[in-house]
Order: sequence, then structure tokens, then C-alpha cells
Amino acid sequence: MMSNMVAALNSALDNIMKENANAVILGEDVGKDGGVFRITEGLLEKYGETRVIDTPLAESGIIGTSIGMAISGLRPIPEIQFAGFMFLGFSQLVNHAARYRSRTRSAFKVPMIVRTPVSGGVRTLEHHSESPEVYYAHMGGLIVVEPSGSYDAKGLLIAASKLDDPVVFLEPTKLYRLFKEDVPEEAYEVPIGKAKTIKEGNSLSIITYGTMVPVVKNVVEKRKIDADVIDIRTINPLDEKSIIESVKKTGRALIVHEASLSFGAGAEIAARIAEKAIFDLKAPVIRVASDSLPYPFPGYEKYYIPNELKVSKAIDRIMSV
Amino acid sequence: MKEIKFVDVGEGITEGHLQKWLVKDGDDVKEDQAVVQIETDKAVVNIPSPVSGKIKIFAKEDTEVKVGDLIATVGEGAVDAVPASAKTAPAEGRAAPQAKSMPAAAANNEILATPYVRKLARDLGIDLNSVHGTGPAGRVLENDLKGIANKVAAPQKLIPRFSEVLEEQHGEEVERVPMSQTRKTIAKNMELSWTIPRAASMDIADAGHLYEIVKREKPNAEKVGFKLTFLPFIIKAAVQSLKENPRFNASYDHEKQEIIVKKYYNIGLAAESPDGLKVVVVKNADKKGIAAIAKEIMELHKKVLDNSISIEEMRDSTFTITNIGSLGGGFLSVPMINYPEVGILGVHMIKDVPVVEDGKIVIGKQLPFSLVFDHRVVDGAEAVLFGNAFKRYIEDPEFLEML
Amino acid sequence: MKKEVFRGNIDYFQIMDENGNVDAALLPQYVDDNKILEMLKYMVLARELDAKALSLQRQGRAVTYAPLLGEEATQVGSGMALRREDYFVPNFRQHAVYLVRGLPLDLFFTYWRGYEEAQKIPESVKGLPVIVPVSTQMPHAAGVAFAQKYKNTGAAVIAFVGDGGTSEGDFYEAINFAGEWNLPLVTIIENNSWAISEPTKKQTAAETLAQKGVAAGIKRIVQVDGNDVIAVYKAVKEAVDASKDGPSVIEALTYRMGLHTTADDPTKYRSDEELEKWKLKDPIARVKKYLNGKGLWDDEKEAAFIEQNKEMIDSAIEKAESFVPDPKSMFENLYSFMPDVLKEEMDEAVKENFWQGDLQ
Repeated sequence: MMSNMVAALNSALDNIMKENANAVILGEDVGKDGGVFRITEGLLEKYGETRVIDTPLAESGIIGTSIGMAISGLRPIPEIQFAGFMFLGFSQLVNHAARYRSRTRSAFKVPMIVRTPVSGGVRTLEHHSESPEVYYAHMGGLIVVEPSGSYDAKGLLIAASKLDDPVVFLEPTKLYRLFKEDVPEEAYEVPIGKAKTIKEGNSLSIITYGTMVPVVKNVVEKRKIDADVIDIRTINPLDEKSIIESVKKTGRALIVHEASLSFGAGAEIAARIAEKAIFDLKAPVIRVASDSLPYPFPGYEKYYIPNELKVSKAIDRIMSV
Repeated sequence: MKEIKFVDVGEGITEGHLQKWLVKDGDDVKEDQAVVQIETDKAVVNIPSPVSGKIKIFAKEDTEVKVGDLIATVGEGAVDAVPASAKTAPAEGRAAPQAKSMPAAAANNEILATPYVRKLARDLGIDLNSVHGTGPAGRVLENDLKGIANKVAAPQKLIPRFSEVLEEQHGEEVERVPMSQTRKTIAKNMELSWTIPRAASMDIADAGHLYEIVKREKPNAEKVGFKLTFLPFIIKAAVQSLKENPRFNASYDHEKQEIIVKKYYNIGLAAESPDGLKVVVVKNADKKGIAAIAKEIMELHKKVLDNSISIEEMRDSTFTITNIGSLGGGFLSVPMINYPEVGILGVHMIKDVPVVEDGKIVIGKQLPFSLVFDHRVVDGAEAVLFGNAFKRYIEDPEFLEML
Repeated sequence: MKKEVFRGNIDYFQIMDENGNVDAALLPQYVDDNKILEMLKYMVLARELDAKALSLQRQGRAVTYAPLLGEEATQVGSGMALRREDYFVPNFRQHAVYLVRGLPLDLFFTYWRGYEEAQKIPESVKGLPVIVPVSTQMPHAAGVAFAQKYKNTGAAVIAFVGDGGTSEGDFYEAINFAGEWNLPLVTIIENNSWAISEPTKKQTAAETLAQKGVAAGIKRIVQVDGNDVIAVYKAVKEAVDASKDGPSVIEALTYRMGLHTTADDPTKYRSDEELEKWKLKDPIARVKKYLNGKGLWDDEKEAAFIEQNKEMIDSAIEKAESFVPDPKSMFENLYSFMPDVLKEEMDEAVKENFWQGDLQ
């Protein structure tokens, strides 16, 4: 069935709730309202208010209680309304979700999925367009996933629901309704921790994820760039192997993400390329990202988010060496 | 006997001030009894004895003590290590690793070159010091190495273009001949063809029946105005073989990595024109009879020879046959694939050869053929299957008579 | 128009005063002298254990330790009031609760020697691991309580939080969730009067910490003498019994007679007079007085009891000190699987012998 990401995620949640009686969805407005992006639409009617729970407005409380539920054998799927508000629950994620298993040497497990919309491009108010993936990926212990299409979104969410680990599931707001893909109605999994090569080529490797995937695709198609385009899909743990293999083949690496440049995922990927593939590099690794600024008000976002021109010029630069 | 050492009692303490002993030297002390009071940056702390026994005091009151200093022992006999220091991680028991002096940087460090070029130089056995870099600030570029690599491989003086050498050395002995448009097209097509990773499969078919039929029918054909040759039969056998092995009637889509299988059978025939090779096409060969094909071949040949052939008549072939036998020479050849097709069939001259039949040597008619194929699309085994099919049809009188 | 929209009150109660006198009207029937003797034994043992851990730290045989001295009644009273199926959620000072719930003592010492393996708490203890960031355990407790309700186990969850912890957002978020979801959660505010150097009056202008539960819509709220083990026991037991009907908040007024942790020096911020005043309210002394009067306890019995348990404590220490850490366990327990990139880091450390230490 041709579905946008909203429908795909809704279908995935439906599959998970149907299959696992211990799965519980909780968050602000997830019940009657179906979530502000309608991802949980219809689930309250189907599974009742003991399993689809409208919570008080308290991000730390939502994530913290989810941790308590998870160590007690439930599989909570909390939704945080916007990534910018998730920082209120940051302590619970980094102090507890990330390390509960390791600090108890696997005696306690935290099987939960924290879903939240990320990134900008939809002209929404401030604090509604953050790209926080690196905060969660940095300390280890949290799995950080960010799909760029409907098919992957459903498959990754279902795969996350099978893991006994805390997963931060980032959903690019801009891609929720941008395009449709063929999404099966039944449950299926897309492996977590595996990058996807969207397009193969020989002259350049473009490593990207999230909102930048369609931007990169457009540039590559419009200019007929002979490039490997890799959607990493999982930020942590990183599929280093796929990236290094591609860069060794092409000798050039361009990393594109919406999160701001400094200390971003691109820095991590570039460092790994430098360590593992520098003798195959014909040009310096180049990163294309938003500038090192906090996300601006919506009026300025078109000057902030990397566009096709910025990606295209980076390709010229990397190919000129 | 156990040691009492001053330890880090407060998260990062390194030293303290020993204020006073709470017991006297030689006193009997109890396990966990506080024996000494030490002031640190953070607090005044009482240090207890780890065991019961007589205490022997080493450190004086009102002195500075450092973390790790032995300040007393308790009990008789040899020193028995305090449990904490006795139980250590496996790593902690080992000798500390040696501090070595700084290693020398790898050679060629002062030369400007990217890591990729450095590795290339290492692989080619070139000392970067000896390379004249043509990049910015004398940076050694990939091309700078390639020039040297050629020299390393062929240590003659730097080679100018071969054509210049030829003209310089042989002057009037060489002549530059401009290429016809056909020749240029052939060159371009052959370069394209060369991008196909190819392999060849060769075999011999028994053409006894085929020979007999052609010999028998030739006069009849002449009566109705056309010349019967082996080729129409070969085309029909090839088409049948393609139907059994459809991947030979196909093209490889490099971009999408898919095979485009064609369900129509347009057989290209390599034909020599005054300008060079041309490929004429018998369209929908599967739907035409022997006579029709024979007539069409005649027509096409005539047009090639008088240069009246149209582009349309040379386009859209799905599989090509090159009839090397018609020129008389050769035994087996490896023809170039007609890009973007998957295969080409080279058929050679039918010859009389001695063959063993029921233990006796008889004269047989042999048709040697070679099949060159795109190995991305099909494998050798499939080529053999195609060859076997082709043989089966060429050798089958019933099939041939039916045509 | 004007009308009253809310009115509430919070009771304080004490059953046994600092001289060992019992308020017979308040003493519940289910608390007999045998029960009181059992409470005393746990409190004495807890104090021994605490002193031992402090001594080990001063000898360099334990890492930074947070002593419980003075808070035995609040912890033993709470721990004993739990039913077998109930869970408890500590922060970092509830050693006596672990003791009452049967945590193997070598794990207690292993934790305070600094090894995660200590947190492999046996399921039968029904306790969560030690939580250090103040009050962050509270939402977990609400989540565990939610799970009990969801799975209809009938179990209650008691959560401990300090006086300082009640100022944290997580405290309010958790009790608010508990109120809204009507969870079987019993929150015990172990008000030991000090948050390191800050007295309770620096935490809030509210007269009690218990009343914070009012704003969360919690109906069962009480303040007790936290140095009166019987009062604590009664309050917690009744809250646990009523947990199927909803959450409770209990504020236990007690006093941290020792250090915040071994890295702390309380003489910097509090007076000797205050400490001396609270020593008169010692939670153990009053029970001893009571049981002495009944002929059930005396110094001799106490010495014998301590001696009897010394061997158990010593062998627990010996076991804890013989624990050999395996640095690979840090990597192997991070996820349910081992990512390639992480394995590479571990393998490199093993191959290159990084764990050998600094250069000579």
C-alpha cells in the first residue's frame, strides 16, 4: 500500500500493540488526539486507555516512568511531542535508560522506544525543529535511529520493538507527509545498525540520513552524479563497515546532515574515515550541515538548513581535488 | 602483621596533616578502632585499624603525610598486605608498560602529498624525494607518480606520442589515411563493445544433413529466383536456440543492474561493405520462412554493396551472427559482441573432415562455431546449453526439412 | 461569588517516644514485643554494617560511602512493613532496606568497592539498584507501580526520596503521575534534616514536605517520627495495605547523625548542639530502653548478637574483596548485542593490553 511516513508509523505501532500485550503507548496528546502529528491516531479506540495513555505534561516523568515500566517487563513506547522538549527528559535518558543495563550487568533491561519528531523545514515555532541525534548517540547505551522514508520507518520501528534496549527513534517532521512509499500492511523488520545504499556509483561517497536524504537524492539525480549515496539510518551504533567500504571504493567522502556542523555526526564519520581509509582518499572529507548555530526562527530556516545548492557546490569542491 | 597506610579518604585527596595519634605506640588496638586523626582539605578523618593487635607507629604527629605513606603496622610477624591491595584487577598485577622514546616519523614526511598519493608511491616503490611535484607549492600529485611509474616499468627515455615517433623516424614511409564515417562508427562501436566483459564458447556441429538439404533445394530456389545458402538455416537454428535460452536475446542495463530480455528476434548479420563492416538486420526472423529470409539477405547484401542501405535496416538487432565461413578462411574466431547485445554467434566454413562413425572413418561435414557472450548476464554453462541447442537444430533433419 | 475549594490537614504521629514509652492508644495490635525485638535486631545489624563500611573506606578498602547512621528506624520500619511481593526503590542510602529484604551482603560491599556486578540484585529482594542522581528514581518507581497495576499483581511499590530530593522536578512529576494514574505507590520522604550542608528549611517554604503530596492529589498523607521504628512501620504498612486504592506520601522526620558521604565534613555547617540534641532521639536507644524494661534485651545480649553476626559480615567482605573485575564486562553488558564498532574498541584494548596501566 502506498503510505506516507505517518501512516507507516501508525501501522507499525498497530502491529506492535497487536503482537505484544505488554506494549504501552504514552505521551502528551497521544490518546484522543492521536498525537499532534496523528501518528497514534485510532490506537486509543483499538487498544483502550490502559495501553494508550494521555499523560500529564512532564517529559522527564514520561521517560522516567517508561524506564520503570520497562524494567518491570513492559515495553513502553513513549512519544515526546517535539525533540526540543525532550531535553527535559535528558537526565532520565542519559543517567538511566542508557546505562541501566550495563550498571546492573544485564540484571535489569530497558526495552523501550522513545519516539520524537525531529528537524525542521516545516516553518514551525522555535524549539520545534531540533536535530538532537548526537546528544543521544554520544554516551553509548542508547540506540539512535532516524528513518528517511515510510518503508524504513515502519521496519525500523518494528525492529526496535524486538530489541531489549532503549531506542531513541527520531522521525523527521518534514518527511512525515512529503512522499509515499510502498509499505506492506503486515509486520516486517528493517535491521537496526545497518546503513542502506540508495544508489551506487564510483566517483564519490555521499553519507547522509534523515531530512537530507531527499535533498542529496535530488542533487545526484539532477546532475547525474556518479556517487554511492548511503543513508546510515542508525546513528548509533554506526554501520562503519558500509561507510568505509564505499569510501575505499570511491576515494571521496561527502557527509550531509541537517544537524549543525560542529561536533555533529559528520565529525564522527569523518574521523572514522580518517582512521580507516585515509590512504584511499583522493580529496579531503567534506561535511555539509547547518551552520554552527542554534536552530533559528522559522523565518530564517531557509537560510539555515542545507539546500541543494550547498550540497551541489560541495560536490564540485570535492571533485575538483 | 598488617599495614596502616594513609589512603585517599575523600575523592581525590593526595595529602593530609597527621594531627594526633589516638593510641600510643605498642598499645593493643581493636579491629575498626580509630587509631589516628588526619586532617585533609575536606575533613578531619579518623583512620581505623584493619585488625586487632599491637600497634607500631611510624609517622609523627603534626607532620604531613602523603596518600600511600605507611604510618603504622598492627600485629606481629611479617607484613601481611592489606586486603584491598592484595585483591587487584588482573591488569593491575602486571608490570607497568615501559615508556619508550618518541618514534621517528615515517619517511618522506617533509614532502607535500596526500595520504592517497603517499600510499600510491609506496605501492609503486617510488621515493617521494625523487619526484618533482607539479601541484601547488610543489605538492606531488597522482599524475606526477604515474609518469614515473611508466619510467619504472619501461626505463627508456620519456616516450612522446607514438605517432610522432613514427613520423619522425619513418617520414615518407608512413601515410596518414583519414577514416570514413563508417570506419569511425566501427571504431566507436568496437570501443563500446570492449566495455563488455566477455567470454567465448566454441564447438563443432555436424552439418551433413544441412549440406544435403541445401544441395538438394538449391536448384529449386534458383528456379523461383533466389540463391539458397546455409545462412537462413543457421538463422532459424539460432532463433530456436535463443527461444530456449532467452538471456542471450537481451541487453544489460548497467545503471539499474538489470537484464532487459527481448521478446522479438531481430537477427543482425555482419556484412562486409567497401567502407568496412556493417550489420544488417533480418527483423522478426522467428516469423519468417527460409525462402523469405534468403530473399531478404540477398536484398540487404545488394544494398550494402551499392551503399543504398538505410539506417533503419541496420538498427535494432537483438542478436548477431557473423558468417565468417562465407569468406572461406579461418577455423574458429572470437568475434566482437555487437553492443549492447549479450551474444554473437560466429559460424565458420563447412569442411569435409574424416570422422569416426561405427568404428569406420567416413567423410563428415563439420560446421565450427563460436559463441561470444556478456559474462555479466550469462555464464559459461548457459553458453554451452545454447551451443548444444544450436547443434541439435543444425543436426536435426526433421527440423531442417520443416523450414 | 466566593467559596472554599480546598481544605486539608496532615497529621503527625509518634508511637514510641525517645524514652521508650509507648502510646498504647496508637500501638497497633499487629506489633507485639517479638516484632519490636526483630526491628531492634535489624537496626543494630544495620548500624554495625554501616560502621564497617565506613571503616573500610577509611582504610582504602571501599570507595566513597554514604552512611545511614541515625536513619535506621525509617529504613527498617519501612522495609519490614513490605509484603513479600512488594517492591522498593531506593536512592543511595537505603542500606538497611536492602538488609531487611535479604540482599546478599557481599553485594552490598561489592557496590561500595565500586563494581557494577553488585547491582545484580536477586529477584527475590524485589529492590531496584542504587540510584545516585537525587530524585531521578522517583519516576522509575511510578513506572514500576504502573506495571504492577497493569499486570494486576496486587504488589505495592515504596520509593525513598530525601528532603533535598523533594525539591527536584522528578519528585513532583512522579507523585503527580501516581496521583493521576492512581498508582500503588508509597513515597517515603526520608527527611534526615540535611541535604549535605543545606538544612530542610533551605529546600522549601512549606511547613512540611508531606504536604507536597496534596498538590499531586494524593489522599493518604502522613508525617511520622522517623526515629520511631514502630510509627514508621505502622504508617508504611497501612499505606501498603491501602495501595490498591491509590498512592500515599509518608514523611519520616529523622536525622543524619553521620556524614553525607565519606567525602563530607558536617562540622563545617552544623552545630554540635544540634547533633547532641538528636542523639537523645536515637532510634535504637529508645527501643533498647523499652525492651530492657521487658527483660528482652541488654548489653550482654547485644554483644552476643553482634559477635554472632560478625562472621557473616566478615565473610561477606572477604567475598567482596576477592571479586576480580573483568573489564570486558563493561562492553558486554551495554546492549543486548555487541555492535561491531564497540567490539573493535574492546578487542583493541585486549590486544594492546591498554588495561595494563600507565607508563613506567
